[in-house]
This record gives sequence, structure tokens and C-alpha cells, in this order.
Amino acid sequence: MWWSNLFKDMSPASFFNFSFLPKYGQLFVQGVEYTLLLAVVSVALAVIPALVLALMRLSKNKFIKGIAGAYIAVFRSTPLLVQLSIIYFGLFGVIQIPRITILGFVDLSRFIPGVVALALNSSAYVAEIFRGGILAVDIGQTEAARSLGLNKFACMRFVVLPQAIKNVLPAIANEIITMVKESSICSMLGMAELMFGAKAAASATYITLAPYTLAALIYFCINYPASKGIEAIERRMRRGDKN
Amino acid sequence: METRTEPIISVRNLVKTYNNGEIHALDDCSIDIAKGEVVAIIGPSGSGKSTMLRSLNLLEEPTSGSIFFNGVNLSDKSVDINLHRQKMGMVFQHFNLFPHMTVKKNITLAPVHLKLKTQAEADAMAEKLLKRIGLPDKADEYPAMLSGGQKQRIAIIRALAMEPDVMLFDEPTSALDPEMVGEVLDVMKELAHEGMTMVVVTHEMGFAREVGDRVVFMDSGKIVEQGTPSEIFDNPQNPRLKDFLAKVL
Amino acid sequence: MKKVLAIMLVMLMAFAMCPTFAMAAEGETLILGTSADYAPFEFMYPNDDGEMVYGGIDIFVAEYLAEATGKELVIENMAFDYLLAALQKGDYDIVIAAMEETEERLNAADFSDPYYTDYPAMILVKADKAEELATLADFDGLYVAAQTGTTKLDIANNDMPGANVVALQNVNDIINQLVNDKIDAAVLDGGVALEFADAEESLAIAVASDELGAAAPFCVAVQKGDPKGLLPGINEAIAQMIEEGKVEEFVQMADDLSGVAEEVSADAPEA
Repeated sequence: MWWSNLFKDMSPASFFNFSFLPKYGQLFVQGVEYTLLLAVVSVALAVIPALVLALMRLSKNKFIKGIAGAYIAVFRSTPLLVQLSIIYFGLFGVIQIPRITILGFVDLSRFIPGVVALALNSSAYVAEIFRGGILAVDIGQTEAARSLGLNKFACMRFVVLPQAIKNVLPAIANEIITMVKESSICSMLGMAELMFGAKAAASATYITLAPYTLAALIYFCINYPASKGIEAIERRMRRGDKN
Repeated sequence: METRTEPIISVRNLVKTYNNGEIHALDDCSIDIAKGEVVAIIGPSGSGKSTMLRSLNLLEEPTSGSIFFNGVNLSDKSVDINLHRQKMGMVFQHFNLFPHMTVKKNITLAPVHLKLKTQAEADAMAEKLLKRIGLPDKADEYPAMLSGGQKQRIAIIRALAMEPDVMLFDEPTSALDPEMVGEVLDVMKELAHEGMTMVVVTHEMGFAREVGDRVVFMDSGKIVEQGTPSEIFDNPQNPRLKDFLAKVL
Repeated sequence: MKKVLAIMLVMLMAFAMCPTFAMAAEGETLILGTSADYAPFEFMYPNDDGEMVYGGIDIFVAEYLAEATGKELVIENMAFDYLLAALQKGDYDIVIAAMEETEERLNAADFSDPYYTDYPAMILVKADKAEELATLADFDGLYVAAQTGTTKLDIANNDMPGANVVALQNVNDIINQLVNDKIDAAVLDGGVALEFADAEESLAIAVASDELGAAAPFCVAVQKGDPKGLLPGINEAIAQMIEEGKVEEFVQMADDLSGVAEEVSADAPEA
């Protein structure tokens, strides 16, 4: 390709020595797919446990509240890499996942531990998002529902949650963006996501910096437009809410 | 005030404190409300009148004392309060319509979910109630599309759809623009004339005088004076009531 | 909300039922754990079909061992300092990753006979300092990096008095830091150090490297106690491999494969 010439005399430690691209570009394409898969699946799996945690946190029962609080505190106060290592070597040392490859490059025996770790971590954050969303629903809504004779559960299900979920959708989308970035840590355990692609390209070609520049560019090109899009949706939703 | 019929609501020695007893919102209040009676509760802000009203269906849990509704002690922990709330309609200052539901769904949610009516029956009733308050064309609109007065009228019929024995109104016109107060009070007057038992916390002295069978004046968490509208407004006894009336009238 | 959930569920189910999955049968496979960020020993490269595959000296050794023991090779990638933990956990049958036998590692794994002896460890520095850093004592007060969990890190810690040792996860990070003067020197496998000295003009091998002595040979690691009984077969195959002179062949093959950077630029004008 004509542009390959551009890199001919560049140092391997140059920011922009992209001469590895023709051969190693594919690693990055796969990496993006793997990264998006990790982020979307782990946040999707986190939603239900997060909702349960949020409701537990709002419970009047001190014991239930304490369990959820402890879970959230532990996962928010320890590094994801530590959690990932413990879950991968500890939890999935006991549970062995069969070595099945799907889509040609996603090895389930890696992917599942990775997704579980990310989902457990994410559920702590999403739980707090839900909790905030539930608390943000006017207390008058609960009072009105309860005054009609609806019990706590029905009130939550028909009146509070639908409003809370609408409020938190942008925050959950943002959590996916966070996960796109955070999941780079899975490269440590050999999951073939974007950061892994960058490392593999760097080590095979002795071009030490540019693969990371490219990875950064790709992360940015995914996350920046996505977060702008979410902001726009958020603005429109807020307009719709005005009475 | 003596009533011959059995009271529908009977409050005995009700106390409500906040901050571990530092603040007395209600201080030993007792009151009986007879079937078909319209009771207006008036008083300066912070006097405990809203707390009193909200205690009647246990939206505020009393610190001590008891509330009997149809002879059942609601403050007894073993009582299923949800069952009794179905029979006590409540209207709030800020309407509290459910913004994510259409008007019709707002009205039919509780009766249908609580299996008091089928969806078809509830829909029919919602349409009848909407017609009655002159808003038959609003059934499929969302609350955000309505004016304050319309919202409050719909909040009233949402409570009526449960066919309650008693209606509680918590400053129902305080959040309204002045030109909309009339349409809401008209609905309430009509309700009173039909014989609904009503407890109304209000700043509308004209309404209290015209519609109330009895007016209760509260101050500092206590029921200070009560009587017929003419007793309260034309011949007040307590100096605090006199003072209050001088300010609001 | 329901829609989003539904789409996600459908996606998950699509994965679960994906007909293209391949399953390796237990027993007939030899699962290799390696850290493929270490050319020329193990790295990834695109094959003729453009698919990313593993290559390098250690990979060729593993392929040889698999063939000699009649098994199918499966390669798994993992950060170097997690390799022995994953081996112990049972994820792999063997680990080959330019790994020497050391006392500490013997606590976590058993090792085969040596299959290859690399150049001795070398110290990579900025080219203009290569001459003046003539003895290990000259590194007093300098910042010296090595890869986490390697014997090179032990050298930096034990044999370079007064040096500030920086442990980094992978070699690329070390090179980046060296080029950008964040560190003053890097202790690396000789082969790797030579590759970088060759590829990056500003880097060279320090004279002091001579003091580091002979290299320890690389061995194949298996689970502690060898519960799968792999070691005898492996040792036999290694002996045969060395006798056949295969290792030199592998080094040549790896050399041909690696250095893709230069190859890419050289190809460019024709493309």
C-alpha cells in the first residue's frame, strides 16, 4: 500500500509507526469485536443482580441492607484487576468451563470468567445507579400508589421502577462505555480484546508504541461518539419530562 | 361535637414525633369523623394539619395513639393496611399522577391490579368519571399534557375509582394557579353534596365555611378549637384562632 | 428497556447455538500455556490466509512435542506472571515461555530437561551510554527495568547493587520507557535484547552485560508432581529433538517470521 512507505524510516518507538497495520490490522478488528462483546454482555448480565442489590440496599431490614452494602463496597473499593485475578483463578479454578470456541475467536473458557468478573464488578456500580434512579422518583409517586392500596411490591413494579429505569438508561449506557475501557484489563488473562491485539502486535513487530496509539484511537472513536450520543438522548428525555 | 351515628374514623391520643422526640408534629390529638361528614382542617403552616391527615391512612406512622377506621385499629401491626387504604381515597397537593401512564391507566391501575374490577369494567368507570368532571377526551393523554386543574380533578377521580368510604384531601388547591382553583373546588363541592365523607386540609376559608360541616383549627400539633363554620369563623374563642383568622381573612 | 433486553437475550442465544464452535476432545490434546508477547520465542503473526496464529521458537518446540507424543496442540495465551498459576489451576498441560527452572518456580511446577539455551541475559541501554556502563557497579543509582516474574528481575535485584529496580509487565513497556528515558537500563533475555538493539537505533547492549555470565537453559513446565504423567514423554521427545538438530532449525524459522516490521516496510514499494 502506498502509505506503507511513510513508515519506512520511522523508529520502532515512534508514536505513529503504523507499518504493522497491513499484517496486524486484523487483530485490532477482532479486538474491537471482542471488547464490545465483553462490555455489552457483562453490563447486560449485571442489570438483574444490580436491580436486586439496589432493592436490597433500599430495604428497611438491616441485615439485607448490610449484605448488599458490603457487596457494593467490596467491588467498588478493590481494583478490577484484583477481582478478575481472584475470580479467574479462584472461582473458575473450581468451576471448569469447557474449551469451546464461538464466532471463531471467542474462547468460552476465558470469555465466561472474564464476563462474570466484569458483570460482578459492574453490578455494584449499576446497583448504585438504580438506587439513585429509584430515590430520584418523587416520593409523592409512592405515596399516591400506596394510598390507592397497592402494596410495596406493586408500587415498585408499576409506579416507581418504570420511572426509575427511564431515568437511569443513560447512566447504564455510560456504564457500557466504562466497561469498554475497563475490559482492557482482560488482556492480562489472554482474552483477545483490543488491548490484547495491541500488545500482540507490539511484541511481534518490535514496534513498541504505535499499536497502543492505535488502540487509544480506536477506544476513543468508539467511546466519544457513543457518550455524545447518550448526552443527546439524555437532553431529549429531559425535555420530554417537563410538565 | 356529638354525632349519633357510629364514627367512621376515630382518632385517639395521636402523637407523632420526629428526631427521637425532639419535634412534636402531633401532640395528643383525638377526633371523631362521622359518616357523610365534611371536616375542614385549618391552621398555620407547620401546625400539624397535614401530618394529621396523612396519619389517617398511615402514610405517616404514628408514634403512639390509635386510629380506628370502620372499627378497625389501623395502628395495630397485624392489620393489612393495604386493604383499608383501598377504602380511603387520598388527594395530594402536587396531584402525584403517574407520569408514565395515560389518564385512563392512572385511574384503572389500582382497581384492576387489586382485582376489584376487570379492565373493561374499570375502563367503563374511568370514562364515566372523566365525563362527570368534563374531561372525557383526555382518557388517552399523558399527565404532562394537562393543566394543573385538570390533573387535580383527575387525581380526585383516580381516588374515587376505588369507591372509597372516605376521601382525604391534603391542600388540594395550594399548588394551583388561582384561575384553576374553582374547577377543583367545584368537583369537591359536588362530592360533598353527594354525601361523601371528606377530610380536607385547606387554606381555602371560603370552601371551609361553605362546604364544611365542621371546621377544626390546629396549632403546634394540637387541635385547639373546633365547631361549625359559623362558630369558628364568626365567633372564635381561642386567641390563636383569632390571630390566625385575622391574618387569612 | 424490554426491547434492549430481548435483543441481548437473542444475541446470547445466538452465541450459545452458534454452529461454528469447535470443541477439542479431552485427552487427545496438549494444551500449551504461553505468553505470546515475546518474539522471537512466542508471538502472533498473520498466516497466508490472514488469520492470526502463534509462532516462535517455543511454539515450534511445542508443536514438535505434541507430534512426538501423538497429541493435538492447543495454544492458550496469558500474561507471563500468571502462567504458572494457570498451570496449577489445570488450565494447561504444559507451559513453554522462555522459562528457566528456578528454586521459586519449582515450588509451583515441575520442569523438563532443558530444550534450548539462549544467549545469556543482556542489559539494554541507550546507545550513547553502552560504553560507559562497563561494570554492574556502574548501575548504582540508575533505574533498571525487567519483566515481572522473570529471572532477569532477579538479576536486577541481586546482582546490580544500588540500582532502582522497576518491574514491568511486558517487554514493550520496558522498551518504551527506555527509549523515552523513563528508565536507564533493561535486563532482558539476550535474544530479545539483541533484536531491539538491532531494530531501534538509539538502543545498544551495555558492555557490563559480559559480567552476567552464562544463561540458564529454558525448560518445559508441567503441573507440580506431574499428575498427568507427561514428563517422561516430554524428556524423551526433547532428547530426540536436540539430537535431530531441530532447535537450530526452529530458531531460523522464528527469525524468518519475526521482524515483521522491517519486512512490512520492505514490501511496501511493490504493493
